[in-house]
Amino acid sequence: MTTFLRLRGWATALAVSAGLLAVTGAAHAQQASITGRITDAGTGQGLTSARVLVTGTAYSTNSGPDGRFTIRPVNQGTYEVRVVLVGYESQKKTVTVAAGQAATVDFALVASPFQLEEIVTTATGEQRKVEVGNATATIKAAEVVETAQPQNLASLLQGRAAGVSIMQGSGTVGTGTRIRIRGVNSINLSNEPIIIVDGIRTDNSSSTSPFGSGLGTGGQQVSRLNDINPDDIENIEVVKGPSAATLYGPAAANGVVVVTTKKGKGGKTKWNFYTEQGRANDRGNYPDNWLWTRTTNGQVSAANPRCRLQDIAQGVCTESAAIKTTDNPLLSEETPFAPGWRMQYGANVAGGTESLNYFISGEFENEDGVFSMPAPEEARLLRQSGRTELRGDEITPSRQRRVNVRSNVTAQLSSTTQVQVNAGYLYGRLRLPVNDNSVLGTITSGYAGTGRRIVQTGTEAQFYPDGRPGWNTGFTNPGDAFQNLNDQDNERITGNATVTSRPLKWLNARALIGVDFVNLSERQNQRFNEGPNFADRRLGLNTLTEFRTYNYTAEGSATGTFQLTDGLVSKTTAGAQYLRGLAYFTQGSATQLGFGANVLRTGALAPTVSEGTNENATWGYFVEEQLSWKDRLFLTGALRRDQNSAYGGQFGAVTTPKASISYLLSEEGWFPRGDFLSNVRVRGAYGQSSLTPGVTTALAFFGTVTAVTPEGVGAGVNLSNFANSQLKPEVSTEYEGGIDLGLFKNRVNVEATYFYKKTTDALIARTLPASIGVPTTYTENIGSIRNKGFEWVVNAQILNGRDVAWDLGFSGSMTRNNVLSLGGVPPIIFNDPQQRHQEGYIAGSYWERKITGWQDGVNVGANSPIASWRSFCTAAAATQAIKADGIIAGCEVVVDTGFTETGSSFPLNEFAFNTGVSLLNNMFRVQALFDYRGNYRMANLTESFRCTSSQNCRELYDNTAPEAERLGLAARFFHPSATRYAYQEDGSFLRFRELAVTFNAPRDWARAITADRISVTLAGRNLGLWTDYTGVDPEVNGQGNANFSQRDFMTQPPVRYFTMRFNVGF
Amino acid sequence: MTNTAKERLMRLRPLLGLAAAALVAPLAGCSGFADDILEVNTPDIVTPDALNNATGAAALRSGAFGDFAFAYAGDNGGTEGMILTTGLVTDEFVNGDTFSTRQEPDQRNMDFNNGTLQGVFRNIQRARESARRARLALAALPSPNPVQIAEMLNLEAFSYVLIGEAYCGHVPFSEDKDGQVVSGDPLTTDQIMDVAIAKFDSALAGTTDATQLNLARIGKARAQLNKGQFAAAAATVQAVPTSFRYALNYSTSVGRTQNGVMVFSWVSFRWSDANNEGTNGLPYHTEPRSAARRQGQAFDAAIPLWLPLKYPDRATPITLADGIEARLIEAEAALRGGNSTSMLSILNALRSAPPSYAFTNGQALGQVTDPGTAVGRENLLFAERAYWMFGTSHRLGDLRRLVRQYNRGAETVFPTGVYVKGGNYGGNVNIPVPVDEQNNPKFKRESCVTGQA
Repeated sequence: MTTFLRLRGWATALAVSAGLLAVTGAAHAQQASITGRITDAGTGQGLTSARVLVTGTAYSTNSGPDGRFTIRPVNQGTYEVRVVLVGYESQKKTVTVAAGQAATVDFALVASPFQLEEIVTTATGEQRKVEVGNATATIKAAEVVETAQPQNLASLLQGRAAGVSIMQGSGTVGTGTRIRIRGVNSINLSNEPIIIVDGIRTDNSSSTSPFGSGLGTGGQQVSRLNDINPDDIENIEVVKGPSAATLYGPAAANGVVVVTTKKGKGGKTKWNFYTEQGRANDRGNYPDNWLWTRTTNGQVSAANPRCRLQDIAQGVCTESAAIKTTDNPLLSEETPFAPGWRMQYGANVAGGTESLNYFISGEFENEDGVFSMPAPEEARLLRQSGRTELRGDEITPSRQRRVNVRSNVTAQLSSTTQVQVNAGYLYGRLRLPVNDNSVLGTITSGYAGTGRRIVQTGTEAQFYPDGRPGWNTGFTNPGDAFQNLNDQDNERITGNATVTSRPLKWLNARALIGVDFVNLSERQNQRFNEGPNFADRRLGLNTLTEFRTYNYTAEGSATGTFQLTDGLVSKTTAGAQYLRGLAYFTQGSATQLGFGANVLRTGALAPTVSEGTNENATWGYFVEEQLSWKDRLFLTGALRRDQNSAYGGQFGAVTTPKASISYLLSEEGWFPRGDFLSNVRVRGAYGQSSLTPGVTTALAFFGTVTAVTPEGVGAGVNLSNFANSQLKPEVSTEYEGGIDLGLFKNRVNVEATYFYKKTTDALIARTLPASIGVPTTYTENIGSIRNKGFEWVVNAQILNGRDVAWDLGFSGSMTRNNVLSLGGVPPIIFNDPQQRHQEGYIAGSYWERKITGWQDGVNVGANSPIASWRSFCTAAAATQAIKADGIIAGCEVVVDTGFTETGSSFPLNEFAFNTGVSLLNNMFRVQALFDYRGNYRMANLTESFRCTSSQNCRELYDNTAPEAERLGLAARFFHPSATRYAYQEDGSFLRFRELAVTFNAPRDWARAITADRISVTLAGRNLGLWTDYTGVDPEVNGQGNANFSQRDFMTQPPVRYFTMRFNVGF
Repeated sequence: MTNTAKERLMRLRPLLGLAAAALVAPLAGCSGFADDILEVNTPDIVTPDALNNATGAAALRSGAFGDFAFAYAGDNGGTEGMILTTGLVTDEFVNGDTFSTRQEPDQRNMDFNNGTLQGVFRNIQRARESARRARLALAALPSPNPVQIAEMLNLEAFSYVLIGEAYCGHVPFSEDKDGQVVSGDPLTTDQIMDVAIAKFDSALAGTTDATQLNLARIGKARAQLNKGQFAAAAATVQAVPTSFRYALNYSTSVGRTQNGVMVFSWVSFRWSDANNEGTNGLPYHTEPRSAARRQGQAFDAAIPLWLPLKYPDRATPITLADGIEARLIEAEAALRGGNSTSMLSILNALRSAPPSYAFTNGQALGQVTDPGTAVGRENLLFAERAYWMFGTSHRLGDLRRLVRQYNRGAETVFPTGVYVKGGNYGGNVNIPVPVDEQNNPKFKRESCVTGQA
């Protein structure tokens, strides 16, 4: 029955789409046409891919490879034809078409570095940017890929769109990224934008799946965003907020990343081959591990071996040179780091005829991470195992290997109807090392190791064959850590078919159906007698997890364009959309596998299995009306209404409106347009978008559990959730206004935007009294969050000569976030707990009790009102330590009694500066990108943990360490408050993100090998870092892609890449 | 009509057509179309209406057993239970972990914001609510099974006893009433025991099943002991044979069914058996009934790891109540009644002929002699209780009773002085009700005094 209903739903959705197409009617009888050629005014060469639009009608087309275009059929009449092409000033001409005749109109476009009339993709189709009342960021991905060589889609976006924050979790190859656009909108739901590829919704999970992952990486996760091959992308548009994203439907409140893949172009078939080769290096400046050993009669005290400054202050031990040792396993001879190699081989072909275009591509990519088995560890493992060589997965525990294939075909079925079929396939294999919050982690163990190497008898793992002592790590030697395998295989198919038709002069219709399918297989494995010696792991363990997710999109829309009066054009669009997301997982896990066996069924303990299902469906419809006055004033209004399977039973549908205005002031006759002020546009927009609750949040339900009753092991149930039949989506409302300026004949382009965004009905998980047990929370629509900010983009063509051209770009954003209301719920405290959602403050900000100073020899901490739960400042302990000795004792530290907000956990200020120089008619191109993030803090839990748990940080022993560090430690470890204040550091940084040098070989060189073009690019990434942050890198998150939780905790920092790309086109 | 007017009308015609098209979708929404295409599968969950039958009640009962066993012992290494947590606060276990939230109970310096303790409290409260929910479902069946209802009453009542012994004297008990949370009034330790006794009495009155009767008797007597009703407690357990034992079963199946006391020590090395902890602790390692084995270092690589031989396997059952406890209650009643001879006699009877289920590490237990002083006899009795009932969440209640009922100073019975990982022991003698309870408007943080036994 369910299947029937689903099929019925699909059939109905398609029927609606088809119905919208059905109004296409019969082809027009009169076969008149508009034809012409578009050329570069300077060179006379034909310009391909220019957009040709006929004002007040649905007529449009693109120019072919020689600049020629034809629009057919066209009704007789007089028309205004406009041509738009990136890099040129748009141009319009009037043409009169007689019945059954071809009217010719040619265009010679003048180059212009920046203009307002480029074409952007919106929810209702393509529009000129000038018609849209919102700020939209467009990234010409194809150009970026060839010149900057981003490793993945996230790095392609990084620093290229104002207001779009790309936060990578670590430098580990294959790990993910958090994207925040104009701040954070939701406390409870994901703040990730949705990803649209060629019109369909795709999996944008920032973890493996809705169920989490079967991998045990310690913290890092994978972003499905990075499955998309940058080499297949033509351009990316970032729709930043609800005012622009209304018509994208539910979950668009966080913004939309619209990816358009490359398409074929008519004319000569073009082949392109490329390879990229390069290396990655770990650049972490890891701190030394310290140990001053406490001795009694020359012997190390086993029970309490450390002689810390606090112990010296209490007279327990005394400082002497003999007791001081340091070690740095991560930078030692046994370092687990080695250069990683990155390689890419790809080819694509594009071409076609007037009726059929195609783009077909294929790519193989392999990147080894920067971890490799240290030679001494390899020797140790070989000796211990008796093997003659180690397996590849032991030697290289970090690797990503991918194969991408894409085929995009466009067929012109008739003069008015076009069908486009796009299909992408990815096969990926990712091997992830363990780090962050795991005792199995290599970096973790290096950070946590003791400050000296001790040969411990009976534990052979501590020895190397040459007799030298081993790491004496905090937890696990690298050799053992690398024997713990985390593999993820990924197959992904993204495909869609789109039919567009222009049956009538005034009507365009479009229907689309597509699916994004992800099939993941994860395996966590440790073989018998191998790997870290924790719990019963060395008896062998295996966890296999299978995930499948499907995202279906079906939609149809029709747009009618009418010239209502002279100068007034109406464009009306109506459409409907059906979205269905399905996610499933099954998992089997077994431990104590035994010798020689490596499969679930051999587990001595019964293998455990689990499964999960997560389904969600949305049905929505919309109507949009746009009026344009004399092609300079554009007014848009729209409504969208959505129903979703996750809404509470008593909640029906959500209606979201939008409205915008765009006014090209400089087109008015009275405007003093001149060389200085070339173009001026003012714009404003208002709109709403929603976020959908979790699929079962509205329901009361019990979960199944395995239980042992007096009768034996069986299934039982326990309460998991209380019902909320009133549950509805969160709604974000945004207002934005801005101005776009073209200065100095459009050689300088300025865009400035202010936005104000407010989320109401925000879902807040009200914490229930602990005495109810479980469930722990009850989710209600009671919160409110505000973001407001300012964004700007300044691009300038400083020099534009044939021999020397120089361009500059400076973009940025300043966002202010505030939790307006939690609906009366007390502050929500999480992550260690250092972060809070609290009314009147930044969502997820850091809080602590501030350290205000210290007084040598004065007991200022004993009377702290919070001393009751810590005993360090009890009279007995304090008396011994409180001396005017220059050593900061815990009770000498003054700490505020109340918590205060110390800063945002995500950057509030972001600036990007890029510049490029082209020499000798672009034979050489040098470009650089600097990336700044500021006004945020990072919890340096790595150092806090080292000082308090591993007890190996310098400031614990060395009184010449910076006073701020000793003070922070004393407050954290020896003060009653245990405040982490000093470890919530300013994370602001400036990074030299990219430097690329491209050599475009002279045409003669290319012709020598019968090619059209040859280029070579040398690129470096993450080349420099300027920051006051004392940890290894402020751009990490040990919590992976968590919604809010953020900390630096034993995390691999970003790596430095040097790559070379060789392109040849035929 | 003029040509111009006609043209205008022609221009408007498409607009009307589109407006009509735009109306199609909303109309479809009204016809049940949307309901059809928005239907989704949710096979992972069980809705409440599916439980209103015998099968559903049985599933709730199984769930209650699972929740109680989990809250009591913990699971396979992720979440600790009452035994492990109270064992840290007392002299039974020491913390071998790196988590400061597990060091706090061991150091008797607990913060009510402690997230780990939050889970422990919620889990025992969930066990209580699950047992109550299952009891109500069983009672609502057309042919209720009185034994199973008594069984659920006993689990519910034991939840109260465990909470009352471990937490401060200001503990609310909230309830789920038809899907709505009703915040509970905070109860003092005495009041908690009163509720437990009432539930044990209901169990006693509702069944003739010997197992459930004996379980209820021992539980009731334990609650009476906490209230200082020594003679009444002895009378309550008089009918319980020494051979009686009610244990919670564990398995090697999924993690939640495993003996968490075993896993946290033998498998994950995060708990280590204590020995003479903090000056006042008992020498458990050399005592057969709480014997431990040394095996390298604990998880934190800082303290030696001692493993409890009493719990060698993930499936080792854990006693909830047994005949030994019944006799020990009688022994204490004798001591309080001034009959130390009888107390010694009972203690030695147990030692000379331990029941078959008792763990003595294969060793014979010699006789104990009269220490000769009142304090010595109290120490002897409580030591015997500690050894016989090691690792069953009795010790914290006993130490608190020593303070409350025997006028001992807390620092003479709880671990005290210099803490092994730095600093000193704190002054907690019970566990604070966690911060989440502050969402209950009836709860007053200042009334939850962790320094008061």
